[in-house]
Amino acid sequence: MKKYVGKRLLSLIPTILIVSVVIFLLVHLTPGDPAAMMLGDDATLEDIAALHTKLGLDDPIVVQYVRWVGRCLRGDFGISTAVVGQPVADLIASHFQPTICLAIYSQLITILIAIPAGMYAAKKRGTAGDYTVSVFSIMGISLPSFLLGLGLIMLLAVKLRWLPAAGYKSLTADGFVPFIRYMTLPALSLGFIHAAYMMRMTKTAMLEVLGSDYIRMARSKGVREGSILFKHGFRNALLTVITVVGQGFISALAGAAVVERLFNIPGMGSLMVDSIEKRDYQVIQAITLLVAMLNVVINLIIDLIYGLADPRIRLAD
Amino acid sequence: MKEKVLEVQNLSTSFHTERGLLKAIDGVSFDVYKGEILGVVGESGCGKSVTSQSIMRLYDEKYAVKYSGRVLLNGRNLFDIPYKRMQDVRGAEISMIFQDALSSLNPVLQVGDQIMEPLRIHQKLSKGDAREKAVEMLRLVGIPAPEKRITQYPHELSGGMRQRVMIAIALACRPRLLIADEPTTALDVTIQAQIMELIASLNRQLDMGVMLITHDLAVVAQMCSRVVVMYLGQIVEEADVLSLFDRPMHPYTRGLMASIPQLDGDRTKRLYMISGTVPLLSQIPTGCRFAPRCPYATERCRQEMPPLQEAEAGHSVRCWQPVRGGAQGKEAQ
Amino acid sequence: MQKDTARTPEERAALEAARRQLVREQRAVNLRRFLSNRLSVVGLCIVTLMLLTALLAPVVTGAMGLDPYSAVVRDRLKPPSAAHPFGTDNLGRDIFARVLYGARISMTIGLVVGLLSAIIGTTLGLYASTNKVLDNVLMRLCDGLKAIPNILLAITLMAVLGANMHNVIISLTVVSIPGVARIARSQALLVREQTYVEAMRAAGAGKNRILWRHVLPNILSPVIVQMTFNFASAIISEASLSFLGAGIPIPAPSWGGMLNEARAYIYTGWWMIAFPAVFTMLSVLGFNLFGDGLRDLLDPLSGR
Repeated sequence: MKKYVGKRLLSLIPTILIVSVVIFLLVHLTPGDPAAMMLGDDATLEDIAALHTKLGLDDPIVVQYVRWVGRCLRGDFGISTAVVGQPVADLIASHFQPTICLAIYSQLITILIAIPAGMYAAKKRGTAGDYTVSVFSIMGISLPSFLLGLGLIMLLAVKLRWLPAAGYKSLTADGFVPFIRYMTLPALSLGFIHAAYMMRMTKTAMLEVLGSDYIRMARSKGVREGSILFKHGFRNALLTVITVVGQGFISALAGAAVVERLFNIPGMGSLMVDSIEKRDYQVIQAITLLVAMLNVVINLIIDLIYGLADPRIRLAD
Repeated sequence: MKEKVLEVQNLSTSFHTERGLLKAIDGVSFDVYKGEILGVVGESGCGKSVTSQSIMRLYDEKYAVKYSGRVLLNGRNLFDIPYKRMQDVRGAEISMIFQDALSSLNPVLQVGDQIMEPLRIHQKLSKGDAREKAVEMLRLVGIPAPEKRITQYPHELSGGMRQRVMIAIALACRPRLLIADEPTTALDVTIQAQIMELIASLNRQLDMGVMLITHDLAVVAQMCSRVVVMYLGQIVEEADVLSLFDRPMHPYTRGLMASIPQLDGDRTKRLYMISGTVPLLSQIPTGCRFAPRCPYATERCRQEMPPLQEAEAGHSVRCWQPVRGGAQGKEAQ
Repeated sequence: MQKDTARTPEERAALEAARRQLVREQRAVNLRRFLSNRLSVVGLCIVTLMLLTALLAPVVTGAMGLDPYSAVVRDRLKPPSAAHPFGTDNLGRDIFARVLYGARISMTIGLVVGLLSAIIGTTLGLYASTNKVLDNVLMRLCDGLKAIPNILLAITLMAVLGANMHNVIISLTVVSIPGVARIARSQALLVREQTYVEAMRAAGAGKNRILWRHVLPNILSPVIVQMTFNFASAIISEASLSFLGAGIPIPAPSWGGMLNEARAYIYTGWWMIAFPAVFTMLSVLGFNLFGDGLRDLLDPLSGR
C-alpha cells in the first residue's frame, strides 16, 4: 500500500507541472498590459515602466513562471487589477464557502438519487421502471444546468412559490433551514446532469457485476437477494461509482460559474464571471489553478480509496 | 439398491429470446444415488451446464427462463417450492462448484468470509463458530496453514488453492448433492488430478451424491460409477461406466471415445473427429438430432426422433440402430 | 498489393465487385439496425429538423415578414400571438425570428467545432501513435488540459481571447481536441499492431501512406461517434458561455444570450425563456440520441 501511495504521488508531479504551465501561459499571453491596466488611463509611460520593473514583467518568461509558482505555493495569487489593492487570495477566500457548500450539497443529492436509481434499474432490467430511469438519464445528460435551473425556478419558485427564486443563505451564518431553502434549487440544477451520468454508470457497473460468476456462486450457496445486491454486488460496483462521485464533485465546482450567476450566489463562480467583465486576469488565473489543483487532489484521494476498497490493488507490490 | 438423492424427471428448460422460446434442454431424466459419482458428458453447448443450473434454479425465472418436469431432491420436488425458498436449499442441500474459481470467488471478500457465509446463513452459526468451521473446512480440502489463509483474498491464492476453497465453500454445510461443473478445466494437468482425487475422496468421506459434468471421458472412466451422455439438450445414452466403455451403443458416444488419443494405439493413424459441429439451438434438425453428423444415418433417422430405450439391463440409448456388443467402438475409426 | 498484380484484370474486377456487394449489404444491415432503434431515429429527425431550421431561417422569417433584430418598442413583452408566434422580448424583437436565427449560430458552432476538433485531434492522435517522444508530450499535455474542467477552460480562454464568435469556436475546439486525440491515438496504436499494417510496412509503404490510407479508415468509427457527442457538448458550452456573457456578444440572437436577457423577466415573460430553452434542449438531446445510436452501430464494443 505504501508503495502504491508513493507511486500515485509521484505521478502527480508532471500533471501539476503541465497544468500550471498551461494556466500561466494562458494568462501571460493575454493581449494588454497588466501594468497599464492597474494604473488606469491617465498613467504616464514612466509610471507604467516603473510598475513593469516592480512586477518583474521584463524578466525572461521562465523566471516569471518560477516566481509565479513560488508565490502561488505561499498562497499569494497576486493583486486584483479590478478591485485595486485587494489580494486575489482574499477575494477567493471570501467567495470560497458558498461554492464549496453548494458543491457538497449537490453531490449529496446526486448520490442519494443516482445510486439507488441505478441499482434499481440494474436489478429490474427490462421493466418499465428501468425504462423510465434510462429516459431520465438521457434527458438529464442533454439538459444544460442553467436550463434546468430556469425550469426549476419557473416551476417551484414562480408558479408554486415553494422555494425562493434566487439569493444565498450561508450554512454557518444563517442556519441549516434557510441554507436548505435557498440552496436546494441551485444544488439540483448543478447536480442533475451528473446524477444522470452517475445513474448510467451505476447501472452499467451493477449489470456487469450481477452477471459475473461470483454472483452466480453466491446465489448457489444460498446467499439472500438483499445480500447479493449489496454485499456482493454493490461492493464491487462501488469501485466504478467512487470515480464517478469524484468527477461529480469537480464538475459541480466547474459548473458553479453558470449556476451561481443564475441564482445570484456570491461564490467563486460569480467572482469568475465578474472578473471576465472586469478583465481581472489574476483572479481568473487563480480560480482556474485552484480548481485544477483540487481536481488533482480529488483524483488522488479517489485512487487511495480505490486502493483501500480493492484488495487486488492494495496488496499488489 | 442405494437411496436416490436426486431424481430428474423429464426436465426441459426454455429461454425467452427475441425469436420466442428456445428449448435448451428437452426431456432429460436421470437419477443420482447417495455416495455415487454420476458423470454427465458431452461437447460444449450440449446442455450439461443448463441442466445443472436448472436443477439449482439459478436462472432468472421472471424474464429469462421456463422450466418443466420435476426435480426431486430426497423426494421433494424443487419446482414446487416458492423461488424465494430455494435459497434455503442452495448451499445447504445442493451445492455447486464452477469451472473458473478466480472469477467465481468474490474478489473483494476474504476467503474466510466466503466460506463462513453459507454456514452463517443455513446453520445460523455465530461468527466465531463459523470461523472455526471455515478453518476446519480448509483443512478438509487439504489447504495447509488454514488459519492464515482465511484472511487472504482470492487473488493471493494459486489456481489449485482457489479451486479447493470453492470446494470448501460448497461443502461447508455438508450438502447431500454436489454438482461439479467442469471443475478442473481451467487448471494444470497435475493440479487437475489432485482436485479430482479430492472430490473422489470427499465423495467417499461425506457419502454425498456427486454430479460431475465434464467433456473429458478419461476423467469419467476414472471417477464415475454411471454416465449420462448428452447431445443437443437430450440424453443419448445412459449406462454404468464399465458397460458404457465396453459397449458404447450410440454413434455419438463412440465418436467421443474414438477422439481420445490412445497411447497403445497406432500413432500414424489420424485422430478421429466427429464431422461437423454442434448445431445452434435455433436450428435443431427434425428426427434424430445427431443424424446430420452421424455416419450411419438413414432416412428414418432424419424423419423420426428415436426414443431413449433400454437396450440391455441398465444401459439405455437413443438410437434406431444401436451398435450391440460392439468391439469397443474401434471400427468407427 | 503484390497478390493483386498477379491476378488478371477480370479477376480483380470480379473480386472488387464482390467486395463492393458485401460492403453494400453490410451497410443495408447497419442501416436497418439503426432504424430499428426508435430513439436514434428520433435523434436523427431532431438533428435534421434543427439543421433545416438553421438553413431556412432567413427564408421562413422573411416570408413571415419577421426580423430578428428590429426592435419595436410599442410591442414590448407581448405573449405569443398570430403575428409573433413565440411572442416578443423586452425590446420588442420577435422571438420566433430570433430563435430560428439562433439555430444558425448553434448549428454552425456545433458543426465547426465538431469537425475542426475531429480533424485536428485525429491528426495529432495518428502522429502520436508513430512517435514515442511526440506521444509522450502530447499525452501529458492532454492530461494537463483534462485536469482543468472543460467549461472552466472555455471560460478562461474566452476571458483571455475576448467574446466573439470566432473565439467561441477556437475555445471550444481547444477544449474538445484532447478527447478526440486520446481516442484516435489509442485506436491507432491498436490498428498498427495488427498484422496487415506490419505487412504494409514490410512491403515498403511509406509512413504517411500507411497512416492515412490504412490506419485512418480503421479508427474513423469511434472518432465519428465522439464527434457527434462533441456537437452536443459544443452546443451546450456555447449556450452556457453566452448565458454568462462570455460567448456570442449581444445583440446576436444566440440561445444562451437570449436566456441571459430573459432572466430578468422570469415573472413577466415566460415565453422569453421557454422557446430558446426548448430549442437548446431539443438540439442537444437530438445529437445525443443520434450519437448513442451511432455508437451502438459503429462501435458496438465500447459499451456504455
